Amino acid sequence: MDLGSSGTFDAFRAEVRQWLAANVPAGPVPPISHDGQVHRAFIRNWQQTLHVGGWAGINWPGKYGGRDLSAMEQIVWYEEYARADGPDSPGLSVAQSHAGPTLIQCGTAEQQAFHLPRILSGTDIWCQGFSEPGAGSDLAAIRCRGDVVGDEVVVNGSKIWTSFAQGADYQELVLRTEPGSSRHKGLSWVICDMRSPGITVRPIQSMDGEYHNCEVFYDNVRIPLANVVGALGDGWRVSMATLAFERGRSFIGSQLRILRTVERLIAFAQETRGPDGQPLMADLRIADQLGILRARCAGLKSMSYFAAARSMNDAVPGAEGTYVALMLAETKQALFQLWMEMLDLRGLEIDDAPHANNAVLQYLFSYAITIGGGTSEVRRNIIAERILNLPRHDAVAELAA
Amino acid sequence: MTLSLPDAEQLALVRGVADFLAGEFPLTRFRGGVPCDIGRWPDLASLGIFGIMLPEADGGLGLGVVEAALVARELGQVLMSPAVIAGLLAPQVAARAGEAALCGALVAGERRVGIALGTLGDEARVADCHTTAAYGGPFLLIEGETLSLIEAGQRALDCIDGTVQLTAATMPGTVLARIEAPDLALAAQLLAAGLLTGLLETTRNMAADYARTRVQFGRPIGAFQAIKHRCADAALGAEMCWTQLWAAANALASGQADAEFQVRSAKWLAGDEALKAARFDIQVHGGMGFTQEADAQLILKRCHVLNQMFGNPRLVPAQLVLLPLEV
Repeated sequence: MDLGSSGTFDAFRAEVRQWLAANVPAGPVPPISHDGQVHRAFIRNWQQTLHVGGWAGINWPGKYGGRDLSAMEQIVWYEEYARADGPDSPGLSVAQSHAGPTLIQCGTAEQQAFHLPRILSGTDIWCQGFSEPGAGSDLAAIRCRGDVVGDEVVVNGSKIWTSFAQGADYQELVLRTEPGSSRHKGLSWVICDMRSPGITVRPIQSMDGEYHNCEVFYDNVRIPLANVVGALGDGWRVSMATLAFERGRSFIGSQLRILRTVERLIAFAQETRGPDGQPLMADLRIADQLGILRARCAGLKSMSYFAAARSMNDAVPGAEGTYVALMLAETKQALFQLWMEMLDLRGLEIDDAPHANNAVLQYLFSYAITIGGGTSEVRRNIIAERILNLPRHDAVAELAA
Repeated sequence: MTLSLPDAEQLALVRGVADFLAGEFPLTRFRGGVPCDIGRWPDLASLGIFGIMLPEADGGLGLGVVEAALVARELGQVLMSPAVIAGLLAPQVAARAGEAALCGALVAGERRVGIALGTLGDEARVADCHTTAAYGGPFLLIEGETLSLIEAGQRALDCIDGTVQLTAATMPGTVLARIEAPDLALAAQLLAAGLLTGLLETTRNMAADYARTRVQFGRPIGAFQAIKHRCADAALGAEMCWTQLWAAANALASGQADAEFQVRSAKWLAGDEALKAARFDIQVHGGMGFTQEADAQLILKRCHVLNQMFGNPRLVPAQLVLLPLEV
């Protein structure tokens, strides 16, 4: 069954390619510093450029200001965006791929009217507020409290691993609004203005030196009830609502980026001489590992295209997306580990990193990839329990015993 | 790039083959521990899959390489004899070489055909070539882009996989047909990838089934993360290999510039993942796993046989680095 051949979209592809070539900023995305301001200015500016160019919200419905592209056109966009090395930042993706779609599916008319245009135009940057010190992989263990007092929710507690909180205007905040509730019940999804009194943001330095994530503290932060998205107590469903929205199509860009990195690494191995004076590629162990990575990245790409095709056909996306997420994370990590190894002594110098497309810094940050957004271990549990129907790992019973 | 899924006709073909194989070729057929598929060549021929890609004018099904790969996956799931690759391809070799009578006999299953896994000195190592006078079967040898149907004197070898009849054929033998066919040489790699992918899927199911039902320490062993994570790895490997098989088959069918890379990657990945899963499958079965009495050993041994097909897997990754790839 042919769901669409890219050949049909040649004209569209040419248009995208031409626009990106003329507009993607030269040079890397500025690193995320403690205050995040340079990065913030960069991504706001880029989102505004996308908006003016007519490329904001490519997968959003037209009535919400989106471009409403077909699934196949979205894929062409993601392919070309990856080929053009288009800017990538959590500050953009949370708003565009998560907060926006959530408001479209579950928000009130007022929430949509205020926030959606500001998200599309790059006026506001969003961050997520799901994980907590005691609720990371086990998201349902959320404890951060939201007490309903009059027409407000009063928030006390903390969130952690919030990407780019230091540069965000709004946060998707998931709170426990029913005292005594547990697990998936009694949670609410609220829009939190990051400038509210009582919020303290503490940026956390990652091992690559950047401040990718933050801890956020809430001390009697008052949020209007009108900012609750969906019903009070319905936060878990709202959190899951976006899962079906994009159906893994943006993953296609990630697969192309990683394949492009492998090709760069192959070129590096051909051009660079090792300590023995021979090209690194003459080392059979390196050639072997590069060949394995190249094949595995091709497999990963095939898996995501197939998943995209399947999702266009199925009513509800299955757990198969977990395959792609798990393999993408582990392959990326393996790739940067190999690159670090190939750099030999040069790998010890951060200053020399631009030489190799910031390979050293990317290597250092690659340790976060198999943890953030669900650890590889939790993803394996999901595959085993939801796809293979293996019995649940009953941690509660084990702890009690 | 094309975004596609198997269509209704392809799914119907697969279902027909799967139903036939489930009834006629269950894994229990190997309980005797001897090669048993070559004796049932006419049954396989009755399925109509020999010469699956042969034009209808030549007596074939006239299907494409995509359909052939889908069928190979089903055959792999029941651990069909590796010679089935020759069964699927040999009629085309004969037809293109102008040997119409041989072609017809191969399609009908009247002539059986073995598969050369590779060569060793002046001998070819051949799997499941029926050497008795009644059949006098030739075997298919693939060297680079040259495909040959050969008859040669053979001596029997004792294969680690007792369900495969391994022989050493003295080369060069008598050539019945020989053609240059880069498309068929790649198709052979693709079909081997299909057999390995199917074998991997069976391994995944076998390991997960056992992990779900075997109880120790008061719970099914699949509840332990040490077990379930390796089951998940087998499932991920199977998903990657199946989708890569699909992508490679379509790349070959549409003449994509990087078809060779895609096909050879599919073969290597399937061999690598199938071997990892087969090793785990023995481990998860515990004491029974390493006995001749359980099926886990069958899978591991067959996996080694398929991995030796058409090029040493140890040398393949370094070759993959150099092949053209569209990114």
